[in-house]
Amino acid sequence: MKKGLFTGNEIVVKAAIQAGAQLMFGYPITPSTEILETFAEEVAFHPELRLIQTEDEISAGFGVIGAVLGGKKAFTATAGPGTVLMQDPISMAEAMRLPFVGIITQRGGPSTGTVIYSQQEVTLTCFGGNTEGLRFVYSPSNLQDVYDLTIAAFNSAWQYRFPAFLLTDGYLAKVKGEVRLHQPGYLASTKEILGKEETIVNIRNTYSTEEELFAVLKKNLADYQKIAKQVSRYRIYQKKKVNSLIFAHGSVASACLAACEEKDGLVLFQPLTLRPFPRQAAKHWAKKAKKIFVLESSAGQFARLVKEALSGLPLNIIEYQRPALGITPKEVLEWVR
Amino acid sequence: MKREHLSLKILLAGEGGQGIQVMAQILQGAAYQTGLQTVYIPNYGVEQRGGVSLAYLQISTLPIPYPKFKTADILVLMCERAIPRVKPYQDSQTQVINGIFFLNTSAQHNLSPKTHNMLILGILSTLLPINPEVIRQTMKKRFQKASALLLNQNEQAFLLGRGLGLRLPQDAQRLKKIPVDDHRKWSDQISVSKKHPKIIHTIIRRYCKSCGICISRCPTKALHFSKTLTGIYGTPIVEVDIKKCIGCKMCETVCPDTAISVKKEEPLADSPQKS
Amino acid sequence: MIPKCYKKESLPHLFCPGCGYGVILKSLGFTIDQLKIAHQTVLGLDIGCALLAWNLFNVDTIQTHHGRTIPVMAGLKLAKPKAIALALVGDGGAYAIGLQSLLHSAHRNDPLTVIVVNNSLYAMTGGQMAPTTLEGEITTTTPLGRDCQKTGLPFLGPETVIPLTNQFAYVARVSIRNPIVLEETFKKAILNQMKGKGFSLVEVLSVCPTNWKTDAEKTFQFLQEMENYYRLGEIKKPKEGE
Repeated sequence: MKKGLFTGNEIVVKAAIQAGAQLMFGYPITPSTEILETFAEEVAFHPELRLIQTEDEISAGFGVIGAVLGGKKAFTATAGPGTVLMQDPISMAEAMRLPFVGIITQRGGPSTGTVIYSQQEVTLTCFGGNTEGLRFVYSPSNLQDVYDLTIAAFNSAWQYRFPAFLLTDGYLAKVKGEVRLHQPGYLASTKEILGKEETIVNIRNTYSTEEELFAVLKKNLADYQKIAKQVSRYRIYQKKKVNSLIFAHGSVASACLAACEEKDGLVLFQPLTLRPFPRQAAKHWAKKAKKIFVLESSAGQFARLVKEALSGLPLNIIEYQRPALGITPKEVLEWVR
Repeated sequence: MKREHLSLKILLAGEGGQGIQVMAQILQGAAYQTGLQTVYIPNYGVEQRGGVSLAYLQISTLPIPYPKFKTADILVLMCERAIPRVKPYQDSQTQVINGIFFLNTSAQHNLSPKTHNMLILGILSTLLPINPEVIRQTMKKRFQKASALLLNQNEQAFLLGRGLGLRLPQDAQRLKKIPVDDHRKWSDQISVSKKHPKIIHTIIRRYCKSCGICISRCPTKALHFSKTLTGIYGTPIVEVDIKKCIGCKMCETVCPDTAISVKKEEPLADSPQKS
Repeated sequence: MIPKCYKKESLPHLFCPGCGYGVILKSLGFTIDQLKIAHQTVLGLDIGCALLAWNLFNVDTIQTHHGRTIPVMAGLKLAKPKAIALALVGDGGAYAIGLQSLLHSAHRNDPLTVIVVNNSLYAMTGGQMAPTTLEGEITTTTPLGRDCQKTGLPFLGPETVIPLTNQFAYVARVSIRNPIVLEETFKKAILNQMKGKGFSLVEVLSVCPTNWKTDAEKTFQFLQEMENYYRLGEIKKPKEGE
């Protein structure tokens, strides 16, 4: 099987093309820019691929929507202030059940912040529009995850018709390491929604009464609930006796892995999907623990999801919040006692 | 004089453009003048006109916490399209004023159809413990910028409605007895010229919204508003005086609602007229 | 009388009495009939009164977000080059919130046809000032009349777009006063796309008796004022043989 050294941004493009993506729309923004650039290079050599570098992120998001309406797999990539702008098109994709795929490379916020790293776009990516958060959010913790979960995002989006995101971060975007480029066993098929000559469709997102909209939302919420178990994923690391359980995602989870290897009784529960959150599994493991630690590079955005998932359990939760700061394995060891 | 406790939830429903909101606003103004607590909220969808217009009006001797309600004490129904919308607000106690039943009453008394909402307000006023004189004054103030003729007609309509309301028993106004006039069954108004070349002028009644553009653009002034027939919004439709029509199709071309169709037969081959 | 591509079950349509959209959509419908493109056409509808046309046609339609119709249609056209991509946008969607996208789409020569309906105000939200409001015009946010010293001169959309376009663009301005000209212009604009040339923009001077608070006579008098300011005609077209 093919393998090699790649950065996270490069491997996103490889995975997207592998998943069947043919179009990308985007606006340069650090640390996601190499995704746009790498895809632009691919376009130069592959005539079936298309790219528009748009005037801003809003236009990029709506371009993705136009392309998926036309039945082609398409995606965008952004970060920070771009993620904020992206909420306009993402809300429309949520409302109209469109297979929108977005790569979010988190950087320090709010505002321009840093161009480097954070885990501060969790709330935005999960619940950012004027929406109920009917989205799939994948959180990779290493380069192999970036490859695998990008493909998963395309598959879930097209199979279940909810917008899907790879919520990665600046470190993973820029780090270079080995990735195995396996062929995916399954690829979701595409479907044209508009422009099909045999049928006519009139699609709306505006309703005249509260009741009309409620009926639509009820259906979408029920659909999302039904498929939550099939989509949600997690990893449990060091399945041994649990004294303390760590909840962490993304790059922070990788740092926690090292701690779990060195310390007895320390187990990591790593959600690979923040939406839908692997609630049942989380509760199952939390019940076994005497102490629960939640670590993140944000001021509680991830902890909120964990606490919601575990609500009802009598818990002793200790939070370690480092908004916009990376967390090293040594720090984890020092802190988790 | 201490007032007995009063709490009324009134729902008014009609076509956008029928003046539902004006009715509610006048009543609210009058109720407030007499020292009652009152809260009013319109519903609104995206359409500026057309679409069902609802007004939620509450009048009480006590403070009113929430602008909407689940069940209406009084329902004022002004158009057939509102019936499914308002069904959830009725229970066995709801008093209904069937405004649809009285749609032609204004015209029958030589009053403009625009006064229909004031007629119904007159009927409604007979169910309310508000001094009708206060309602009348509030109404006059509201229409002070209108023409003297329209103001006068509105007042007449209001008093006419009061008279009707006082005479009719409330049972007769039950929803079940509405003769439902399905606009989809309205027939087209077809006029055929007697002279040559033959002109067939068709007006589709249920499409006409009384915008008046065809009337203003007709080169021979052959079109005018009907005195008897109303269109989809309860406003007068257009009628043609076929004797004046020259079949130029200007009305068909300019009508925004595709409500007019003009067919003109080609003149005979040896006729000096050009088609 | 009624375009073949209209959905008759949707009549009477949702537009106000006397609305310019009634005439515009009729002309667009006749153009689609004439060109026989109902099945390939995709009509994107911006938020504003345009969205009320969502179920008026037996043609694919989609309501988008405000000011975002053009990027959606650009994406669709890129994915489906055979589709005929039309964007129906109001003055706000084209010249305010959506201006960025309009300019860049024209700049890229995206093969779209954009129809901008200019009725000098924001109608669906109740009649506020638009970039196209005339000097002295009363709107709900300019109750004393528009002061151009403070808010800028009425916006010349097509003229602003033209310097960014290349030789393949077709740009025109028409008025609903003449529905026949409307039809012919829509046809030329859509053919510009169908023949593979590129971007086309048609601004239509339209009327809003509801928010202008005018009767039929006064409505057309105000339209005349608009026609005095906004120049009508084919402002730019590809050279013959290009």
